[in-house]
Parts: sequence; structure tokens; C-alpha cells
Amino acid sequence: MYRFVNRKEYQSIRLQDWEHGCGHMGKLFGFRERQDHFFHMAPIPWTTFTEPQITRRLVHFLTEFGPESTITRERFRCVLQALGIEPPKKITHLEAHAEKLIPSGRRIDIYLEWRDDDGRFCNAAIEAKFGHTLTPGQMAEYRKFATNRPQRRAGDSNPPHLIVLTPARRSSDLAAMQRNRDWRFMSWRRFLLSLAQFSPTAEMQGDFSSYLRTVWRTAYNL
Amino acid sequence: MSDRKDGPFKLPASVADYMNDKAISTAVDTLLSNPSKHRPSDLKWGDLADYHAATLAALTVKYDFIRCLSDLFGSVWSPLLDDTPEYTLVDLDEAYEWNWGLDFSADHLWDEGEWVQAYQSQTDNSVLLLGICIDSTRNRFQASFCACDSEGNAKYTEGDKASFPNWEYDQDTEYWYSKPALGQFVNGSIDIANFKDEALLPIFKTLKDHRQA
Repeated sequence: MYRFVNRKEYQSIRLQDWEHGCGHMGKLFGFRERQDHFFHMAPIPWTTFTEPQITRRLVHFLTEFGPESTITRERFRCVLQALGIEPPKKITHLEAHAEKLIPSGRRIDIYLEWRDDDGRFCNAAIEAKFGHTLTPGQMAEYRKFATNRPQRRAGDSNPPHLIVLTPARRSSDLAAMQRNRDWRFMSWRRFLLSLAQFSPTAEMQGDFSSYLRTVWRTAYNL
Repeated sequence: MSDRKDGPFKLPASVADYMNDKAISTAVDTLLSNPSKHRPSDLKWGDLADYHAATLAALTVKYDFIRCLSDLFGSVWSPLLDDTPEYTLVDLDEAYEWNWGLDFSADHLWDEGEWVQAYQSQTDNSVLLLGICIDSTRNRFQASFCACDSEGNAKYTEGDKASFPNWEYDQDTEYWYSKPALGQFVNGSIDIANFKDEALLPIFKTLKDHRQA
């Protein structure tokens, strides 16, 4: 049944104090609880990263301590979570590549491999976009490569994770996505904010946070 | 200039936080730049209520900033205007018709951080354009002015530098800008009395001499 909004209640919505408003912003972007959140950083000045520089830096974050390092496993776990992939409890056989060359001559921007708790092969192909249009052909080729990896053993039935990282959904990409329904969109916004949320505090200090802030600027011109 | 009651000019908390806290400024700029303002996207269902409350907070910063421009303008320039009663404020719509580049839309004021008012002399039809510009990334403000004769020619140019020791002349715009170091906010506040002594007294003197000449 319709009722008038009580005047006091209405004012409490309209006249929220600044601290209260800040709290909502902090909660929405996740920077209130994390002093190492990249929102607290300035972007790297006088620099615009190219797409390959951005993907290489992310892969360097994943590989710099070698595949057996605990830090590598933690970082892998947080990147998978940020990509919306449930990481296994014990993650092994880690590999990360930027600009991975495939037989057709094309390059996958970010390519990840790992094995799950039962030792089954898992992988992800990520197309990192900052404004270029997707082509259906490249998506089919990346899928073929990721599906037919020789490391897959009998019973390794996990399909590859196929992700397009892009600042926002664009109508010009919809046709390519509709012909490749096993690919999914993920925004840089959600990926970067999730990465900031899931990363162990020690990993987020220094230049990696500045890097994330610079990627945010590249994606959103902010 | 007889009014010495003015104390420090304090920025509203929202604007001071925007200028001093990188996380706040990134969040506010992100929320205000949302291209689909009427249809929030790329959010989880549980984020929608926070998104709207956060957007309202971002708009609070924007409108507090506009109010702040207006208040700072009054605080800086009102003594000069009290001292020059022959200059009267040009009607807003009339000011738009002149080619002075004035724009008081919220987006323009927020993007440019500039508030300029136009005054016309009742004695000789000369025009005085007075402004305030807040640079939120550098945490400072500059005052600006341009004095034109009735034909629209700038009265004071590069050659008059000696009369305005704490000002810099911009040949492109024909405006004088107060030196940036004079308008530095510290902890969200600035001593306007000091700014007046350093920057405004020479203008008072020059305009007065000009009137008497």
C-alpha cells in the first residue's frame, strides 16, 4: 500500500553528511580498509603504458619469484579470484605468459596454466583490450589453442576460461561475443578493484599499486 | 581597503578531502565521469545502494566546490569592489552575449575550476573582469583580472609589469594571474588577509591612480 515518505526519513537520505558519503565511496571501491589500495596512489607520471607493457607487467607480477614460490602461488590465487575463477586450495604447475604466440601467428595477451587440487589441467586465455574492437576470428583461434593443449590428459575436462578484459561493454564487440558464447566480458574496473581487494598486503606495496593506478587511468582516462 | 576582519578562508571538508586525499579524488572523478549516468553498470546487485549514495557524495563535492569558488571570489574581490563603486556587475545574460568566454554551468565550473564576473564602469564604460581559479590537483588558487577600455582593449599589458609585482601576464588571454605560490592552501585553509596585502594592494593602487589621472 502506498504511503507518503516520512519527512524525517526523506531528509536523512538527502542530507547525508560528508563522512557518511565517504564511507559509501570507500565501501564501493574498497579503499577504506586498505591503505595499500591503488586508489591511494598517484598514477605514474609522464607515462602512458601500451597494451603489451600492461600485460607484461601483470605477468611479471605472477612469475618474478619462480613457479615454486609461496608468493607466486598467493599472487596466482588473487589474480584468478580477481578474474572470477575459483582458485584451487593447492595450486600447482603454474605458468603465466604475456603475448603468448600461438600456431596461427597471433598472440594471446595473457595466457595462464595451472593444475587444480585433483591434478587436473586448467587454463585461461585473456584478451586485454583498451578500446580496440574484437574480431570473431581471433577468439576462435584462442579457444582452439587453449582447448587443444597437449598437457591435457584423459579426464582433464575443465574447459578453458576465456575472458575479454575491456574498460566497458561496447556494442561493437557484441557480435563477436555472440558468436563466441563461451567467452565472457570482464571490465578492467572489476578486475583491478578485485585484485586490490584480494591481494596480500605485502604484495600491493610500491610500484605494483602505482602500476594498477596507471592501468586504471589508461582504461578510464582518470 | 579598510576591512581587516577577514580571517583564514577554509575549504569545505568535502573539497579539502578531494584536494588532499588521492583515493577520494579518484573515487569522485570515477563516479562523476560515469558515461551512463542514468543506468549504472558493471556492479554487483549488492553494490547498487552504495553506488547511489557514493554518487550523491561525489555530487556533494562538485556542488561544494562550486559554492567554494563563489565564496572565495567574494572573499578575495569584495574589498576592491567596495572601493570602486563606479563598477557595477554586468547582468548574467548580458555577460553571456559578450565574447568573454563566461560559463556558469556546473560542469564547466567543475572542469575549469574558474569563476569570473564582469563589471562595467558607469563613468567610462570600461570593463573589469575579475576571477578566481582553484587548481585542485596542486592545492592552490589564483586570482585573475583583465581591465579593458570601452573598446575592449586591455588597459594593462606586459609593459605594466612593474605595477603588478605579484602577478603574471598571459598574452593569449590578456589576463593577469596572481603568482601561484601566494594562493597555496595549507591544511584546507589560506590566509586571505596576507593574499590581499601581497597581491591585491598594487591593483587597488593602480586602479585608484588611473581614476585620478
